[in-house]
Amino acid sequence: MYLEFNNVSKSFPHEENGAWEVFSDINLSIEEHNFVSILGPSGCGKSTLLSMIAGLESITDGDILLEDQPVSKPGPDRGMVFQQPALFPWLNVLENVKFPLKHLSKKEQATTAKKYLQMVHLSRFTQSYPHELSGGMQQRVAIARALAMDPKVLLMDEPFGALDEQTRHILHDELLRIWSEDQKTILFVTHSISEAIKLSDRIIVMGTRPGRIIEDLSITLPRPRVRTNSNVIAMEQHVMGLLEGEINKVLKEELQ
Amino acid sequence: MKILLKRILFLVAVIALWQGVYSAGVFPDIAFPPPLDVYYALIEGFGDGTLTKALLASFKHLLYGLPISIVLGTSIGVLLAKSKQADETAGMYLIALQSIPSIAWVPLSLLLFGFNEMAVIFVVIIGGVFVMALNTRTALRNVPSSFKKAARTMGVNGLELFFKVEIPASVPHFMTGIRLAWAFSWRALMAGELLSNGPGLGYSLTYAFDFARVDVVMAIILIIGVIGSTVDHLVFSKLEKTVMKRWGLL
Repeated sequence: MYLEFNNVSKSFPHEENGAWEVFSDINLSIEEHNFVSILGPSGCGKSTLLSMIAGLESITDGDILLEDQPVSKPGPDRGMVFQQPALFPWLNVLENVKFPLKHLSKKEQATTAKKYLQMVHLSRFTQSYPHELSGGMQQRVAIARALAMDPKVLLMDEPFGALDEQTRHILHDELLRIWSEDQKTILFVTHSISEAIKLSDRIIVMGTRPGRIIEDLSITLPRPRVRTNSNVIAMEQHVMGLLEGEINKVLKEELQ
Repeated sequence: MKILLKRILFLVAVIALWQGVYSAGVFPDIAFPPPLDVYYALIEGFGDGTLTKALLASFKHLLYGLPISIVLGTSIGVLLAKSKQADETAGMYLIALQSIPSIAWVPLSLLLFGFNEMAVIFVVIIGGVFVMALNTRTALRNVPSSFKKAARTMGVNGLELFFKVEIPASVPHFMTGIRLAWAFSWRALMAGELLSNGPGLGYSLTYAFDFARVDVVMAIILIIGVIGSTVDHLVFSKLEKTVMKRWGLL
């Protein structure tokens, strides 16, 4: 398998109980070129799981294998896009995208960076500084920067969560177009059911307290998927049904 | 333009009030000069070169002291920000040291180095070093963790992370540190020179006082204020604003 999770657990040290378990025994196999969403309510550990693949969070138990190699620390074979674009304000757009390419020659750096900036339709803004761009444009630069490393897998942690509705829809279409061009394996964390259904080949639905996988859904509906399509509506309702109990659990705990 | 006009009118009003207090004879002449006398003292001082010489001597002290205090302060700040051990041990004393007015160091400095320019330079260094260290520490601590995370996912860590991400990311706070180090050093410089054997602007102030030249005393106070604010405005504030703007913080 391309990306594999074997009995993966995560717990954080906790003052009272010794340890606080986010999730345990996660088993999952992800195929190459797949667009997989991890969907779940807040607190289910979906972002933590993604950070573990990135190597930013330690793995408490079990292991994560990328092309049979265990993941332990961050590396350029796994690109990550965060909710905040995290572009470096002292570098212009081109320099930001060139940042992870230090192993290439100067000339290759420039051609690679330009290629990916063209892919996200930002060729005209290579010399701009991040603060001169809109939130959506900044996030596109962040995507170009992650893709420029040519990672084996692209990890996206609620990348469009901080954007307004319209920008988000535009970026959904852009991402699908880029994905069809670049054929990356994408792991996409979100809490939006419609976003997950619109984009993915497969949705891993996670529950909370304790964090676990409650369903593994394949979506074969043809793209583009319109929200008014009856199949899409049926799927949304199905996932909503799965998550309702989970969300109530969170609410109950928070209101106590 | 409107702001400039307001400021000029305010200045005129202050000078008029000053003249009024003088004319009313609130203070004896020997303690309180009229504005015109101060003006003549300035003309005379710059005319015969005494004030110019004093000013150049003061700038020389700064030229030696300020860079040393910036380099030293930065090193201390980096050490405290990067080593938890160092910060827990020495961090809190930094604030204690920063709270000591620089004039308090002058007698000690004179004893250590004697009545010479080295003593003044030492006070200038002490004046700027702690505020520089505190700001460098804050600057490095306030580097957004999202920058560090993003860099790590791009395979950058260790020293490379420090030089390529943490240092550039902390430049805005660092610039604030430099501006404050200048402001504190400038005050320390005057304090040091006041008790020194000269040359320097602060020394000229004591000298004028000894000879009961209150017009010169006033003139030097004006020069100190004007230079302090001009350098801040033209150099350090401008530098800080440019950086802030470029970093998208304004």
